[in-house]
Amino acid sequence: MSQTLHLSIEGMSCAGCVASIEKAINGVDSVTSANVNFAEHTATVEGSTNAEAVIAAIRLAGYQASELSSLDDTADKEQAEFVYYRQLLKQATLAALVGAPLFIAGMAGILPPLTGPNGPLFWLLIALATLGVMIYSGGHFFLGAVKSVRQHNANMDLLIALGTGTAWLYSLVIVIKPELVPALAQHVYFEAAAVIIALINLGSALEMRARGKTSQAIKQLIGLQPKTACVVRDNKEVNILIEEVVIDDILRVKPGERIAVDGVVIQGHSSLDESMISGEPLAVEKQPGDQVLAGTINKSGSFLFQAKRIGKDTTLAQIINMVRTAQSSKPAIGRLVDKIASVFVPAVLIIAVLAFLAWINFSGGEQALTYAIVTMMTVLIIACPCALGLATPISIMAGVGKAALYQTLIRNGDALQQAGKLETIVLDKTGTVTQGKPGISKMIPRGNWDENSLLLWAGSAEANSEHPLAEAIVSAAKEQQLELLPVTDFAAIAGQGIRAELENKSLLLGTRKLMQSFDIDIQALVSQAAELEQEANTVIFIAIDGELAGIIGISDAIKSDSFAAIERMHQLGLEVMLLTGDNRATADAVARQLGIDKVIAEVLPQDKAGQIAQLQRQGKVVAMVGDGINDAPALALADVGFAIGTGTDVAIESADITLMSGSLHGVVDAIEISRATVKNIKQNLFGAFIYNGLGIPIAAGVLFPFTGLLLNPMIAGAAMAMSSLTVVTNANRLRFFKPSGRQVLVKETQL
Amino acid sequence: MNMLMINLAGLFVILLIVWWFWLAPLQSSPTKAKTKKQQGN
Repeated sequence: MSQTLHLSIEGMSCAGCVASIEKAINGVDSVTSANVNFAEHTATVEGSTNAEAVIAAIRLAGYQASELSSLDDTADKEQAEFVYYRQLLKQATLAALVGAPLFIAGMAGILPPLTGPNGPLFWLLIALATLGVMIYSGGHFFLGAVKSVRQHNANMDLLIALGTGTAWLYSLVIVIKPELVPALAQHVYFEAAAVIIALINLGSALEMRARGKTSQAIKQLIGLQPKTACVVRDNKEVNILIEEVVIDDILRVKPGERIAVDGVVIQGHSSLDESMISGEPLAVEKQPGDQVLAGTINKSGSFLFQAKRIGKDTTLAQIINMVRTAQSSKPAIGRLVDKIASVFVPAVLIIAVLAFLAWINFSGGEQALTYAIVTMMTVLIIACPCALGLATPISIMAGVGKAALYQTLIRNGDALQQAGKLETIVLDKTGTVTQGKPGISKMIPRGNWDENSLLLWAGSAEANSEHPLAEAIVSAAKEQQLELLPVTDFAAIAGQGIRAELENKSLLLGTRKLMQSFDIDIQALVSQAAELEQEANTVIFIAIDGELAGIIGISDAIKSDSFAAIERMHQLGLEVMLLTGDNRATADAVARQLGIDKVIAEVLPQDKAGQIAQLQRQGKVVAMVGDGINDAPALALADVGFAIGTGTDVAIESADITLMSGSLHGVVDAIEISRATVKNIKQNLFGAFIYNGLGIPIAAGVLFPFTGLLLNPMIAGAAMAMSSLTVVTNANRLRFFKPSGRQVLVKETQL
Repeated sequence: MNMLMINLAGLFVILLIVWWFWLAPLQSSPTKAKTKKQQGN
C-alpha cells in the first residue's frame, strides 16, 4: 500500500546535498517519489516502502535521518537545532578571536616580519593556532567535504574547505620554506582562513534562526493539538498522554480545554470554537450525536465524547500532513534550480582552476603566484550554492504556511505557483457561491390545488429522489407534518426532473423543458415563473394527469461573503464565471446580484469538465471552484482546482487547493499569496544568480586590469555568508504578508 | 618547463573534476536505473 513518509534529515550542508539524498532514496525498492526540502531539512517519500529501508539508504549516503509523524512535537528538533546554533556561535567566536586580532595587527603593520629574528617561530605558532581554529571551528566543513567527494557530489563544504585549506597550506609553505616562493609573493593568509570560517559559521547560525521562523505555521498547527486527554476508564477519569488514547475510548472535556481527538458527543452539551479548522468565527452548539474535531476549543459546558479517529487519522493531523507535504514539494521552477545547484559547485571548482592558470600565465612578475592563489581562494569562497538552493523552498514553505493560516490548504508547490497566473475563475453555483441549502420560497397552486395538497403530492413523489431540490421539498412537507402518499411508479429524468404515479394519477415534476417534452400547457403560470426566476429562484413545474397543478419556487441563499470575495477577484483583474446546471434565468439572477461577468447555465453534470477544457483552449488559465461530486472532473482538469472544504471528499481529493472555511475569500487569498510567493522566489533567484554571476568574475579578478584591485578573500567570506542570509530574510518577509481585506483566523494569541 | 608543468597539472585537475563529479556518476546511473526497473517489474 502506498504511503507518505516524512523524515527529518541531519547533516545537509548545502543545496547540492538535495540531489544526492533524493538519488539515494529513489534507489530504495518501491519508492515512487522522493522530495528533499533543503529549507526544512526534511524529506517526503511516497511509495509502499518502510521507513527503516529509506533511513538506511540515507545513512549509506552519509546523512542521518529519523521519521517524523504528522503530529510530532517539534520541541526535540527545536532543542537539537538550538544546541547546534549555540555550537555554531561558539565556533564563530573562537575563529574570530584568533582571526580578528591578526587581521587588525596586520593592517596596523605591527606583526613581526617573516624574515625578522623571531619571525619564523612567531608565524609557526600562528599557523598552529589557525590549525586549531580550522579543526574546532571549521572541522565540519572538512568532514562534509570528504563525505560529499566520496559520494561524487560537490557541495558548499568542499568550496570552503578548499578555499581555507589552500590559504592555510600556502601560508605554511611560506613560513617553513620561504625560498620556494618568490620574495614579492611571500604573504601569509592565516588570518583570512580564520576570519572566513568565523564569518561563515556566524552566517549559518543566523540563517538557522531565520529558517526556524519560516516554518512557524506548521508549529502553530501542531500547537493546536493538546498533549494529554482525560479518559474515562473503569468509571474513573484519568489523564493520559494523547498517544495512549484508543478508538472508542470515552473522553471528558471541560470548559476551556481543547478536544484531543476526533469523536462523537455521547453525553452533555456545549458550544465549541471551531474557527481554527472551519474558519467559522461563531461557536458551534454540540449535542449528543454531533461530531467534534481535535484541536477545537470547548467554550462552555462539560461533555463526554467517544473517540472515533485518533493519531494520524484526525482531521487536524491530516491537515498538518497536507501542509507539510505541500511545504516540501517543489514547483517546476524549484526543480530546475536544484538541477543547476547540483552542477554549480563542480563548475565553480573548474572556474577556480582556470582563474589560477590565467593569473599564473598572464599576470607576469614575481607576484603572479600570490595573485593566482588569492584569486583561486576567493573564487572558491565567494561562490554560494546555498543562496540558489534556498531561494525556492524557503519561499514555498513561507507561502504554504501563510495560506494554511487563512484556512486555505495548498496541496503542492505547483498549485501555489500556478494560482498566481490565473486569469479566469469559474464558480459552481450551489454550495459554492450559495449556501447549498435550498428552501421553498414560494408556491403558486393552480385550479383546485392548494399549497398543502401541492406540497403533499410533490413531497411524496420527491421522497424517492436524492436531488438537493427534492430534499428541500421533502423537508418542507415534513415540516408541515404531512403524511406522504405511497408512490407506485417512479422514474428520474436526468437533468429535467421526475415522473411518478400516486393514487392512480400520473405526476410530472421538473423543468419547463420536461413539461414541453410531455406537451403540458404551462402558459397559465409562465409569467409568475419568470418573475420567480428573476428573483434567483429555481422554478419547479408540477403537472398532475396532464394538467399544470402549480409551480414551486426554490431559492438557495447566497453566502454572505460571496459578493465581497467576487469584488476582490475583480480588483485582481480576474474574469469571474458562473457554471451551473440550473436554468439560465436563475443563474443570470444570481450572477447579476454578485456582479459575475459571464454565465454558463443549463450545463449537464458530465459537461462541466468540457466547459473548462473549452476555456483552456481559448488560452485562458482557468480555476474551477466547486464542492460536489459532479464538479470533480472539472476540478481535476482546471489549471487550479479549488474545493470547498465543507463539500464532498471526492471534490477535495480532485482539487489542488481546499478552502476549509468554505468561503470564496480563500480563492482570492490563495491567488494573492501565490503572487507574493512567486514574486519572492523570483527576487531570491535573481539575487542568488546576480550575486554568483557578479561575485565569481570579480573574485577571479576581471576588474584588476581596470582598478588594480583584487577582492580580499575575507570580504568574499562575508559576502557569501550574507547572500544566503539575505535569501532567508527576504523569504521571511512573506510572514508579514496580509491578503487584502482579510483577518487571519488562527491568531498567534490563541496558540 | 615549470610553467608547462603547472598548466598540465591544472588541466589534469580540471579533467579529474569533470570525471569524478560528472562522468563517473553518469556511468553508474544506468545500471541503477535498470536494477530499479527490474525490481519494479
